[in-house]
Amino acid sequence: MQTKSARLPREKRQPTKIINMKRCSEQLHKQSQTVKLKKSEQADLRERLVSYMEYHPLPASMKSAPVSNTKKASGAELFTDSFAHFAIPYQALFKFGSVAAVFVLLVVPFMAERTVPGDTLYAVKVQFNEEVRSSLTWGSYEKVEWETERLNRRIAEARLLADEGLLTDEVEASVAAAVKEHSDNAKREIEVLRETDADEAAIATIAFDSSVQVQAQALQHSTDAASTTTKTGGLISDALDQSLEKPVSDEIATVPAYGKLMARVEMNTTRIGELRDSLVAIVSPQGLADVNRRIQDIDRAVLAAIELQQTAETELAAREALVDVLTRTQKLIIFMTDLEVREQVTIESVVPVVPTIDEIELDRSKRSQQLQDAIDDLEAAISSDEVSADVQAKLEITGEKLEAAQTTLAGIKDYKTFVAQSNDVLALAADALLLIKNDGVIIPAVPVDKATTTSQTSTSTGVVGSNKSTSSESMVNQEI
Amino acid sequence: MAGEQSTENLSGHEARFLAAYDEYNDALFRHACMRISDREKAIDLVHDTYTKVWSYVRKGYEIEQFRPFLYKVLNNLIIDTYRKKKESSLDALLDIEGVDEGSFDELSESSAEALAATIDGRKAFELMDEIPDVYKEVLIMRFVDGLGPKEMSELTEEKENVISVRIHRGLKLLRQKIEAQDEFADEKRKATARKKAADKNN
Repeated sequence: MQTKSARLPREKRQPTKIINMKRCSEQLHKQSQTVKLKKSEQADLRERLVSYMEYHPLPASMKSAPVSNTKKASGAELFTDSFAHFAIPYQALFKFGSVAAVFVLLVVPFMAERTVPGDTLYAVKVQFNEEVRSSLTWGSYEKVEWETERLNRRIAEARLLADEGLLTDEVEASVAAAVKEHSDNAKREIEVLRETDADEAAIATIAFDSSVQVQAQALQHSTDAASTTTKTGGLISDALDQSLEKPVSDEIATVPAYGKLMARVEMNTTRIGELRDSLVAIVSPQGLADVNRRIQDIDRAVLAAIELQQTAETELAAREALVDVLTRTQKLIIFMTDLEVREQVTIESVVPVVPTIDEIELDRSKRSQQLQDAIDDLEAAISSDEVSADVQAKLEITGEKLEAAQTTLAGIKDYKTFVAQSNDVLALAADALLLIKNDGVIIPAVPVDKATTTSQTSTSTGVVGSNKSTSSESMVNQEI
Repeated sequence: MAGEQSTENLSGHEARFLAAYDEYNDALFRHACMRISDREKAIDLVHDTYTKVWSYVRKGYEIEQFRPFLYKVLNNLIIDTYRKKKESSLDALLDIEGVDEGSFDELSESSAEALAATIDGRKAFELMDEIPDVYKEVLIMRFVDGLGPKEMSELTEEKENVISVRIHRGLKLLRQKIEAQDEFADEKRKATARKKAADKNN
């Protein structure tokens, strides 16, 4: 009973609710129907609308066309004039924005790295790429290295343009200005470094000067080669010379501490080893042998410096030896890393070979023998009837001079002095023998070639010296 | 009448358009008038609605069903009117009200009907102006224009759930207003009765 009585009211209530709801909707609807346009308002509105239609008629093509031929209108195309809705495609914008950002931040700088003055993206290279890297470089020594690198880049660009005949006066002036700017920046950083660490400053100066010297040397060679047709690179050479003339080089007088020098030398030799490995597949066997020879020289010099450092008396000499080694390693790195430099100058002119003791002895004896041979040939010519009296007189004087020089050379201990003086003497002997040859006497063994070859920068024998192959006869006459 | 064109002279597009005017002008006017509570402005809005639709027709679009299209245009114009009228935009209003997912009751259609059953339709009509337009809009569409949830969703570009929540909350608001009005009237009546009793005793 209870269940029945409890269910009944609910069953009864349910239809009442529906009726109420319907009544509510109906009442609301009924009330709203009282809101309507008057007939006159409806007619006015229609009239306004028809007028509008008359002033804005359908296109002629639509009047005749059936309704089904028209485009489908959708809600998405509806908008009002006052508040036009513009959908901003954030997702697409983000995607394209990402692509654009990648293009601007990665692709453009990468492409700009290969540009030279006059290219569209060159400004990106100099004013964005390099400036960003500058601002990311910490430490004065690293800043000096970077400014040196920038200087090298400017010169490399100038050389590239010069090779293509595009190095105009304007571009050359701008490159020279850039070289000066980077040089000044490097020196400024060196001064900053000197206030905190004089040894590091001295090492940075050595590295900077070595680099500039190599570049100046390569540029000079390039300028000399181009001078027959066009005069290029003068301003840049001047800028490089100026940077070398500045008092920064004076600071080398303060020889850095042994430990710091050795550390830097070790870093450089490690770098050279890596560079050598990377060049194996690129350079010729002879080129690789030349590099290996310089590495051996450097290793030997380092060992010598270590030995010198053992005693207090020779400690300064050890440091000076290491400064020399550091300079050579620095120059060798520039030579190995800069393709343009490799093409312009020989490795011998950048890092001359340092002969071993055996090589020195061999070269000394060889030169002495060449001189002796020349003296013998002269004596033979003097006693010969085929030589004119005038030439014989000249030869006698030359022979005496050569004999005197032979005695002097025998007493010279320093190898470099010996090489320098023997070069002069051998050149004199060669000229004298050439004089005999010109006079009609055939000399079987002419030591001219030998002397010239030996005195040349022969890397295989390891002889150091400058070749003074001047005009033969005039020299002999001068000497006489 | 200058504008009266005989159907023979009209193209198919013009005839369909004028037929749509004759059929829906009153409903559109009612909707606009109840939304903005300004008769003259409502007439202008209806006029603007039809001229805009005519512009679409002239551009070569075919309007398959005029009713939802007309309501859509009118709704946009009403929103524009609101935005022009007050600084606080509809969006700001929505932000204040908070359009959340709604509770189960608010999402239920039967719940809305049950709620509507407790409301006096006449009073609800009178108090319609006192609730925010965001609720008024859906209540008018539902109870005056007789639109279904799907149509309302397309017109307002809101999800059907959001529409249901708004209807439910709008009805609740209306009921609160009606109850408050009833209480006020009751108090007034009691006060009048007390006064009359006091006068009689005196």
